[in-house]
Amino acid sequence: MHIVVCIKQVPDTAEVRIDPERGTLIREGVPSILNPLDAYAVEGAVALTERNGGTATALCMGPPQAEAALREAIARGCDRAILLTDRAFAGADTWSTSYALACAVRKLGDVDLVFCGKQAIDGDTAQVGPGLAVHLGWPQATYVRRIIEATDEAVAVERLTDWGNETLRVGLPAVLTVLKDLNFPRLPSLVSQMQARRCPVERWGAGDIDGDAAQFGLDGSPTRVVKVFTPPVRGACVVWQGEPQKTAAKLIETLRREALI
Amino acid sequence: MNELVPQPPGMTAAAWRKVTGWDSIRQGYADYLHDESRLHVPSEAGATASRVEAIHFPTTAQEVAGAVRAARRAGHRVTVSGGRTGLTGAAVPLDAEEVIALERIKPKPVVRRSRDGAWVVRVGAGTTLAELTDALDHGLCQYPDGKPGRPLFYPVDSTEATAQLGGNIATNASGARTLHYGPTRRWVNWLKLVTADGRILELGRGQVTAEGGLILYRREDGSAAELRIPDLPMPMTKHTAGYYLKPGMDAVDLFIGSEGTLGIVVEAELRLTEKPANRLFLTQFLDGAEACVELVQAWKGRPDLPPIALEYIGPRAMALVRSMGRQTPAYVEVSRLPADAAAALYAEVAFEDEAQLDAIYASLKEMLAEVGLDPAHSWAGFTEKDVEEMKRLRHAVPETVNSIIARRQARVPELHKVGTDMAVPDESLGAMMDFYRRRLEECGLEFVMFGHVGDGHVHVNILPRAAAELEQGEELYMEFAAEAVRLGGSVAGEHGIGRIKKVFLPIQFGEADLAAMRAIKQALDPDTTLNPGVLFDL
Ligand SMILES: Cc1cc2nc3c(=O)[nH]c(=O)nc-3n(C[C@H](O)[C@H](O)[C@H](O)COP(=O)(O)OP(=O)(O)OC[C@H]3O[C@@H](n4cnc5c(N)ncnc54)[C@H](O)[C@@H]3O)c2cc1C
Repeated sequence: MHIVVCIKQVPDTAEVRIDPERGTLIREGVPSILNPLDAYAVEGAVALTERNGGTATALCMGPPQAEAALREAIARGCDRAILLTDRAFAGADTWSTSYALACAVRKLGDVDLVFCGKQAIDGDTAQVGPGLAVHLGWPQATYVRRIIEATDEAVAVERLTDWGNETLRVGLPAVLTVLKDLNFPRLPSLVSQMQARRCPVERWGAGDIDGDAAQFGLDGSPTRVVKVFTPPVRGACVVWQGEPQKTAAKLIETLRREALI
Repeated sequence: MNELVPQPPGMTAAAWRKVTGWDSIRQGYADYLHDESRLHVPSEAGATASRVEAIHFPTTAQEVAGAVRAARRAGHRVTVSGGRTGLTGAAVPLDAEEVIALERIKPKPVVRRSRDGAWVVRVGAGTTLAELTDALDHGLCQYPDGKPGRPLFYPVDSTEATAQLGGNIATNASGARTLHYGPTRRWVNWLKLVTADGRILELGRGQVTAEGGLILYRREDGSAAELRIPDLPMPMTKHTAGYYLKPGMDAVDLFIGSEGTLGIVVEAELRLTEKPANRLFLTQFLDGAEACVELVQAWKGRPDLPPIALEYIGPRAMALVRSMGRQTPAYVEVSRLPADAAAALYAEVAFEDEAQLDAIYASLKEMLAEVGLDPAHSWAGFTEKDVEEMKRLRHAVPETVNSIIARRQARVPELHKVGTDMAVPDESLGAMMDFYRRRLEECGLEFVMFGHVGDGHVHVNILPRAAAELEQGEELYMEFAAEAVRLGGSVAGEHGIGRIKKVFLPIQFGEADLAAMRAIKQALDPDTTLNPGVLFDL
């Protein structure tokens, strides 16, 4: 079985600070990390190849420094790493990104299954996994929380929906996007970290993946950012000060009056 | 010069925030009545027992001095309150009628170059360790001399990041990286203090030193009190027990580690250092304590692998955390521990250049092989994210102990954990750890061991199941302290003496030395205004 895991390098959003005076985002001291939700996809893919045999290939589109995320995937058990990197890919939206990733998966040829994280913590769109399935013309299962069984023909998965869990059998090849519930991603050992440092990371450019160049990068992206703004504050905020017991009683009374409790 | 000359604070309007009255304090400010030790002011304290009548929240040195003077005028004594993360009850206002809380003294840190070219930061006492780290990492300080070219950090990481820098200085805190960077003392350049008589003392390192075993303290009436500085036999380990006293010592060192009994830290200038360009974080799994001692000793004999930190999680600590299942905050980390990981040694190694890593790896492999350990049986990483995950496991140990004790307290309210803090010289580490284990097992007590093993400083936490076991645990602590001193160590490596560890001071020091300490307290604070009941009963 050949499994591809698509990963992204993202800014560590937990480290982003707001300048208290200017109200702007501070980029200083914000490291780039492997998208935390992709760690579950990596572990899912690696665990499956360990159980069923086969290889796990980590695939990432990004600038040259995104290589670090691929090395982390190798340290966590992937066998091979490919970085799609080219100026032609710059500015890609989710549509164009999933198109380029689909081209790369197609070029790999013998892929049975693609794992993606639920979403990237910087954009939070959750669109690249499903987009990839559509570009490939493969079936997909999103929000997968458990893999029940995997054979060479199909995977049986449990996915989370708004109304409960759904059990699906998906014919291969297919795309899965996975949730945190799927597993506990392993931490690399010293030996695997050192192997990952030495492992070659293949670099593929736009010319290597047989796609329609017009669909790559900013030019191939239908998304247009019209405006970025902070939504206005709705409603007013009331602060009560005073003795805790009295204030608590007042709060309860008010909530009752407003029929909130 | 050997004279301390505090300045009068000048006039200040008493405009700082104050909470007064025992009932409002008891109901709304109970947090100020305890710290992270078992001690607290009983909320039902009657007319005779300790009742706190006021909590002050000053924002400047003048206001701190004003608060001290106001308390003195009322004939009251004062407890100095920092982040209250202390483990010795030192910030618990059991003998004081008023509390001065430093939490509002947190101006934006100022990073500048000192005269000798080193980078330093000026902080308010109320700034927490977490806030300073954040400000340094994200460029949120003031930079009158421009921003430093390379990322800087304050290297003393005393584990609990809500501790205030004032509290860190008052306890001479240390942490995992003390192995390489030393304790707080090493990083303090300058202090602004408020004295027990409500004056302001600015004191830079190198300004006032003991001459001929003497420091003079200029009283408000112009007369001078003599501080006689004996040559104290101090252990060559981490040590925070009583005052730091050495011939020719710098007066700054007298205040550092004095647990708020000699002055209130209001502001400080701390040295900073460059962040290592690269770090390797390693959690090596072990089968037990012997393997840990062997590895630590091997490591100390390797100048090619200088460790920044060497931290231990013992087999019982590991088993206890594992036994908590989903209830531990480190559930994720525990779930991915290798099944046969019985104990662990966490290490940090710094290196400048990627190219050095291969050599470091070769040395590590060689050293691990020498002591029969497998480098594949480990967790390793290079980023802050990696270290966070590893530290969660370590932090889960005291948290687990606390939650188990809390459950037992529901049955037997007087139970509490017995947490030790002794440090011994490297060569005695194995002997000390053996002694701990042998005696604890002989007594049949439940316990865990973890901590700063690279500094010979392993914490034992005893978890009594019944009142009799608590008593036994406390007796054992005395025995351990005596053994640590016999081996050339300290009864208190980092948490200090506070209120609950006073019995250990006479184990460390002779009567004459203790009398010298008390005389210093009396010279600087004759009315025992500051932190009564801390360090000594006067
Ligand atoms: C989970 C946990 C882990 C810990 N690990 C470590 C560790 O690794 N290393 C370590 O050293 N400690 C450790 N501690 C203990 C504690 O965090 C330190 O002692 C810390 O330095 C206390 O700072 P604080 O601001 O909380 O002080 P507090 O607890 O508020 O006060 C401690 C003492 O300092 C005095 N004080 C506070 N502020 C001032 C001031 N501005 N001027 C004068 N006196 C003042 C108080 O009066 C009191 O005597 C740990 C505590 C916890 C809960």
